[in-house]
Formats: sequence, C-alpha cells, structure tokens
Amino acid sequence: MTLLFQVAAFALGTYLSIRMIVALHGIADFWFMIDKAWPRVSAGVLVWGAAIGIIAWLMDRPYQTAFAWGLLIYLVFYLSLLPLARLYIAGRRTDRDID
Amino acid sequence: MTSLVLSLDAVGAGDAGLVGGKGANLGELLRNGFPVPPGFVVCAAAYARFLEILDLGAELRQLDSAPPGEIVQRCALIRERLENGDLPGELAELILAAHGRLIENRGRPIVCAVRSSATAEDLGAASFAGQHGTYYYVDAAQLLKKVRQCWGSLWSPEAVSYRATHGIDHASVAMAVVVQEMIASEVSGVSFTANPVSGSRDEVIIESSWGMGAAIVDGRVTPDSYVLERTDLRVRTQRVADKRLMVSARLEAGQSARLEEVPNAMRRRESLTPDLLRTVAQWSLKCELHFGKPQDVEWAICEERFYLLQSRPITVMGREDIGRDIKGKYVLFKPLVENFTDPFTPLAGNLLMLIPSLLFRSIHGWIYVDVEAVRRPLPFKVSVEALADHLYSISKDAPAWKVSISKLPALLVLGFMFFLVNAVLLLRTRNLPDGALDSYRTLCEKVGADPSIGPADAMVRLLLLPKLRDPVANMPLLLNLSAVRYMSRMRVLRRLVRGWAPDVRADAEAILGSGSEGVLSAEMGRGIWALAIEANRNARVRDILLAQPPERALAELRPTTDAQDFLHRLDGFLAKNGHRAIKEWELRSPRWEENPAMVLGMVRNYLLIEAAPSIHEQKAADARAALIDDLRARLQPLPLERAFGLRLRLILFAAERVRYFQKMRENSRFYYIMGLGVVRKKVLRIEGELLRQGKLKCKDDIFFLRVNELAGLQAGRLGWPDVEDRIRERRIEHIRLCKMGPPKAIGIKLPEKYAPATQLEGATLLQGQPASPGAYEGRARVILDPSIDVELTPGEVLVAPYTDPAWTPLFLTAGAAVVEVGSYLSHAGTVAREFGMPCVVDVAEATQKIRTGDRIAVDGNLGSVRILPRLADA
Repeated sequence: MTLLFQVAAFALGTYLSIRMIVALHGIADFWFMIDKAWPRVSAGVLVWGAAIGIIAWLMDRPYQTAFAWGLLIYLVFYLSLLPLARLYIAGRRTDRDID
Repeated sequence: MTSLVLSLDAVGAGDAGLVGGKGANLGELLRNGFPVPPGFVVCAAAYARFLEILDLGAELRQLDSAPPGEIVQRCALIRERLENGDLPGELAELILAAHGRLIENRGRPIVCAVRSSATAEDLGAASFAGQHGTYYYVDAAQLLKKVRQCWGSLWSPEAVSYRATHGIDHASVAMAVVVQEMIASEVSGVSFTANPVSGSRDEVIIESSWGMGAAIVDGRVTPDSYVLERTDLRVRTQRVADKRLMVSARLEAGQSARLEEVPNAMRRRESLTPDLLRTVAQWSLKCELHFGKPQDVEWAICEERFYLLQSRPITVMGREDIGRDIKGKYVLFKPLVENFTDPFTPLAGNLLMLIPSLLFRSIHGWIYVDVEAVRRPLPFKVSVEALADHLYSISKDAPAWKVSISKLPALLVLGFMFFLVNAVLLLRTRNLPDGALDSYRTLCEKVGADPSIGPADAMVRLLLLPKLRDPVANMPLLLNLSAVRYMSRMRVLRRLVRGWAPDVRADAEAILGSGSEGVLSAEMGRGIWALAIEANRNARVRDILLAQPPERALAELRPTTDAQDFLHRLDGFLAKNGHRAIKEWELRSPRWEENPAMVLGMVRNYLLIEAAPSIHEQKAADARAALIDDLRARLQPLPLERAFGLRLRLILFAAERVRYFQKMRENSRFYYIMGLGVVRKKVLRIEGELLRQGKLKCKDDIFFLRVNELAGLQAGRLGWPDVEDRIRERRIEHIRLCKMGPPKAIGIKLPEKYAPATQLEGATLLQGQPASPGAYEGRARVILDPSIDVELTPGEVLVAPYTDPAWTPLFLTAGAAVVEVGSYLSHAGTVAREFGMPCVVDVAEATQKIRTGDRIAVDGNLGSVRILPRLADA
C-alpha cells in the first residue's frame, strides 16, 4: 500500500511540476502586457507554488520524498528537452549536409 | 566529310546510333522540308575516338560493377578528363571546317547552339530531358570546348543516376553533338500535339514567350499558354501570362547575364498573333504526322519566320510513375495538400526538412505521410490501404477498425511519453491572449539584420530552437501544432449539438465555429478593404488603379501628389502584412513587400464591387445569432434547461473553444510565415553576392541549389560551371512535376475518390467535397495564379487550383468557390464559411474542366458542381 501511495505522490509531484512550469512560462507569455496581466501571472505562480509547498508539508516522510522526486524529475526532464532538441536538429543538419 | 562529322541534312531517322536521337530527328526533319536551322553533327564515333585516345574504355566498362558510393566519384573523373583533354588535331580541324562552312557568306555574324545528342536520348522510353549539356551563343573560339563539355555532360552525377534508374548501361551510351545556327528568336516556345499530363489527344497545347525558348524549358518564365482544338485549331482556352523576364537572343560583348526584364509594354501582350499560333500548331501537327506519334516540339519565330528546333515523342510520365523508385508506403495528407500543390524547390525543401517530422517525408518536393510509421503504433487491426484511404478521406463508409489488444501497452507508453513532452505546451496554450506572439516580429527583425546568421541558422533560430532570451522563437510552429486540438473540440461540439438538437440545420457546427475576432488573415482582408476606401476617396488614384495593370499603376502612383496618402497607407499595410505571399511556404515565392502590385490588384478588385465586404461578415453574424436563437428554442423543452440554460452554455463554450483554436492556427501561420520571409531575405542577400561575383548568372537560380551547394559557392569550393547543369536539370524537373501534380499515394493502390465527370440533363457534373453550404449559379472565372489573374468580377464563381491566405480577398468578390484540392478544414472552406458563400473543394481537375465564362451551378451542400450548357448549345 505504501508503494502505491508513493507512486501516487510521485505522479502528483510530476503534475504539480508541470503546473508550476506552466505558471512560470506565463511570465514570458504575458510579458508584453505584464502591466495588466501581473495579477493573473503572479496568482498562477503563487497558487501552484503554495500548492506544492502545502502538499509537501502535509505529507509524511516517504511520500514527501516520492513527491519531491516527481517534482524534480519532471523539471530535469523538461529542462533537458531543449538541449535534446538541439542535438536532434544538429543531427538532421549533418544528415542533410546542411552547413 | 567523314563519319566523324556530318552535315545535318545528310542524316535521317535511322541514324540515331551514329548521331544520337536529337541529331537523327533534326536531320530527318530537315531532309523532309521542315524549317530546321542548318547545322552539322559531331558523330558518336568522334566521341568514341576521343575516349580511346584518353584511354577511358576500361574505366567505363568497370563502372557498372563499381560500388554505388564510388560511381559518382569515378564519373566526375571521367568528366574532368573529357572536358579538359585536347581533341586530336584531325578531329578538331573537321569540326572547325564544318563550322566555317556553316557561318560563311551569311553577311552577318552567326553564333551557334551546341546541343548534346546522346545515342539513348529522345527514344521514347526515357526522355533525358535536361540531363545533357546545351550551350548557346557559341562562336568559333569556344566551339571545341563546348563540344567537349557536351561529351562531359554524359557523366554528370544527374545523368549517371538517371541512366541507373532507367536501367541503361553506362558503357553503352555514346554522345554525338549537334551544332546549329542559333536562331535569334523574337518569340519561342514549346508545343505538344497531345496533352502531356492528361494524355488527351483532341487538343494541341502551345506555350510561348518572348526571346529564347530556354527560359520556358527551364521554367524561368511563366509563358502564355494556349489550348487549341486539334480538329480546326480553334483556340479552346488561352492564358496570357505576365512575362517579366526573357532570355535575350543577342548577347552584347562582355555581357554574361542573359536573362533580362521584358519591357513593360510587352509583359502582358500576347506573344503569338492568331496567324503565328496557327502556323506553330500546323507545323507541330505535321511533325506528328511525319513521325506517327504525338510530338513535343520546340520552335522559334524570327522575323515572322517559323523555325523548328526540336521534335521528339512526348514521353508522358504518369503521376503513378513518380516515386516508383521509393521504398515504403506514403499518402498525401489531406489537410496539408492545399499548402503544397507544387513541389518545393530544392533549397526550400532542404531547409524545411530541418523541421522534425517523424511521420512525414518529402518525396520529389511534396510532403507525404509515412503510412507504415503511422500504422505501427495505432492500436487497430488496419491495413496500410485502409489507413491511407482514411488519411486521404476517400471511402466515407469504410468499416470500423478492430482494436488490437497486443498493441495497447505500447500505445499507452507512447501516449504517456507524448503527454510528458507536450503537457506544458498544451496547458500554456489553452488561453493565450491575442498579442502573445507580437514580440516575434521584433525577433525576426533582429535575426534578419544580423549578417552572421545564414539561412539555415535563421530557420533553426526562428522556427525550431529558441534562445533563452527569445523564448517566443519556436512558439508560432508549436502553437500551430497544438491548435490541432480544434478537431477534437469540433467533435465535442458536434456531439453536443447533435445529441441535444439533432434536427438543427446541417451546418450548425460550422456556423457556431466561425466568426472569431482577431484572426489576422481576416484583418488583412479588412486592411485591403481600407486601402480600397482610401483609393475611392481620390478620383485620380481610383482611375489609375482601374485603368492600369497593377505594376504600371504602382509606377504611376509613386510620383502622383494626390496618391501620397494612399501610398502611405499601402506602406503601413505592407509593414504589417508584407511577408505574405502566394504559396508562402515556398521560399522562392516573392513576398508582397517585394512586389506590392499583387496587393494593388486586390485593391482594384474591391474597387469593382459595390457592397462592402463587411456585408458578408454581417450576414454570417446574423446567421449565427439566428442559429443560437433556434438552438435555444429547441433546447427549452429539455429538463431544467429553461431554468439554467446549461446545455446551451455548454454548446457555446465548446464553440468558443473551436473558435479559439482555429484562430490560433490561422494566427500562428501568420507568424511562422514571417519567419520564412526572413529566411528568404537571407537567401536573396546571398544571391545578390553570388550574382555580383559571377558565381550565379540568373536571379532565382539559387532556389534550385541545395544548402551545402550554396555554402560551397560562398566558400569558393564550387563555381558556376559546377552548378549550371544541376540548376537547369532541377528546373526542368521542377516544372515537369508542377505540371503533373503529386500522385495521391506512393507504393499503395488507392481507389478513385469520386466518379469521373458525368453528363446530367445536358450539364457536366463534377463531384467534390462540400466545404461551405449553400447553392449558387454564376459565371466561372478560372484563376490559376492570383498574382497574375487578379480580376474577379463581382458575383463570378472563383475556380482555383488551391487557395491560401493570399487568395482571401478574392473570396469577398466571388459568389461561390470551387477548388481542386483541400478538405472541409482547408483555407478555402474556412474563409467561405466565414463569408457565408457556397464552396466545394477537392474537385479534381476543376481548372481544366471548367473554362472561364462557363455558367456553373455550385452546390455546397452536396459538394457538386454542374457545368451548364451554353445558351447557344442548349
């Protein structure tokens, strides 16, 4: 049962990581109208940040660790997408002999 | 004369082994009284003698057994030796003596055309069109070199690959060279005694343009085009093109660029008078009669005299032959077809293929779906044919696919990975405001202004990989991909509407999903309308626009004081929309900011219509409001609906989501096309440099190079002689493919989608797919290229091969639209629904079967088009 809850905590961490990244992206997405959009953007960051903090605080130790791994692993995975895409495109350029 | 060099009139049809296919054909025609320019042939035996002297025999014999990777390298060596070796004295003397006889006592300087004539060439099975060298303006000093270059062209990588594909033994092919007086043609062209695309034998097709014919064959100019009845040579259809360029027949000393601008007065003038048209057709048919097969004839007119330059059998390569050498199974992706009716040029294709596309593949410049790659992860038991049929939406009542349990786990893993990769994007793009991509324009300007960024880097930077400081960079393309969600939202909307109000009008979902605010392509249409209002305010501007063709109108408006306000507005419009173009995915397409005449043509269209375009929008808005009232009334009897109105709210919410994603799709396109515009500017800048350095000779040639060849030219590793033949061959191939159009599938046999045209009560019935409801009857206007045929009289039915946003303004003037390609979701359907006009798409060969002036009835509910009998015929 513990393992099942740990998996659930991990999945929840992953989900909240996604929501937090989306909220942070909002800063760039709404930057052109940030003077009007700042309440919405900051609310997004604060709500999802707070949700992560509160959920982590409420969890017992083993679930907390799984939750943190979920958060962290998705963040690392997401951040690695751009370098991976860069490598992939570089490969395509070589394949096609595009200088 | 010996058998090494023969006068052209001394050879005939049976001498192909001696003088090549072209030489034999020309000799045959000349000796039978056809007006072929005089000349002589350097026979294949001379080539064989030269090979012996260079001791290349053994090398050639070993070629067929050489590993594929080595063949090109070996051929390059053979070519180099042929082109640079010294001709034996006796042979050189024979050639120069024959040349001397050809040009003596002519009373004016004569230059020659030197043309390859391979012994396997023009023999029907394989055309070798453009594979071998042809040189013009050749004088005595260059003659021997050009003969050697013709021999060398037998060993170009393209010619070698062509022979390999057609199973022709390399060592068995020899090359003769035809040297003829070059006709300083005022008009030239090609004619076909049967339709080379459809195979129809009841028509003669003639294409003509000013100057030398090379420009037509290479596809550098769009020629005037005539279709004549074979029986009485009556003109069935004709299309006078805007002939901007010509290859000059006379080359001044020191001049190397042969392509020149056609004087304004001649650009839209017919290049053939009715008499000359008849002469060309008659001679072409005589060629066919002589050879007993349909002919492809090249001809020239000089001082009102007709000259026959070449006649060969039409080698019709059907669409089904395209991609025969390709392994795998591919089908065109219906929703994308309208964007890619013509194949990409090599440069554009090369750059665009940087975009990751696991499921797509470019074949001869067209984009195909790899059906096997799509089928593999699908959890259904479905054959490749059934899936291809589905992707091309052919059979409407195909049986449902059975689920394949064994594939489900793999699909779940794949779906989960897809979710992980795209979750952030999908959530980010659920509610983006309209201006989210505004900063993309600034990024484009920044990248465009940086000379250190080349076209490929610009492509990556603006469309694929963002820098941390410019996170907007790849957003247009990502938004476009994520906007595909509107399909699922549309399905939800349909379910809701049909579930709760099954009897509501058939096009209810389409009407509910239309009418978005802030769609940039619609705003572009309004911008053109605003320009028309400005033009209408000033009688002088209005008169100039209505009286002159767009190019001339622009030149006349520039110095006109009264026109300055209008021009100021035009500049403002171009600053926002100048990156748009016809066929805007293709880098070769000029953008509006380069040629604003196209925009003026559309303004002119608006000047011709009485009613404001907003009437269409109002009509659509009224239909939407009436539909919502109707829905409300139908839903009222359902439980609790009167109290809470939940069902209607849900329907309207689903419709809002459809509108949002549709708008995202249209608007993201506006921006990524802007990125492609920057890439084009980079290419044009390089082209300018290469033209100045003499590494390229003609504008527009650059698009027929590959990116690595471009880099080679820039770095000095390649020069004009290295790329000249490649460019010509690719141009010829490109134009051939453009005329033919893509086969719908490669490696798969698909059923025909619609029954062929049928006769119904005296009318010809064409079947297509309904894209916008309603019925309309009116006069057809066939428009192939909106940059040339910009006039559409209000109320005419637009008949087009495809449409994209550049066509939008024409929809405002049209009464209905008929389009050869596309689907319900294509641009034509979307715009037609917005404007509340009937539209039928996917009508095969509509632009050929319907002629301008025909009375046609368009039924947008049934997806049918009837060509009504002319009143006189009825």
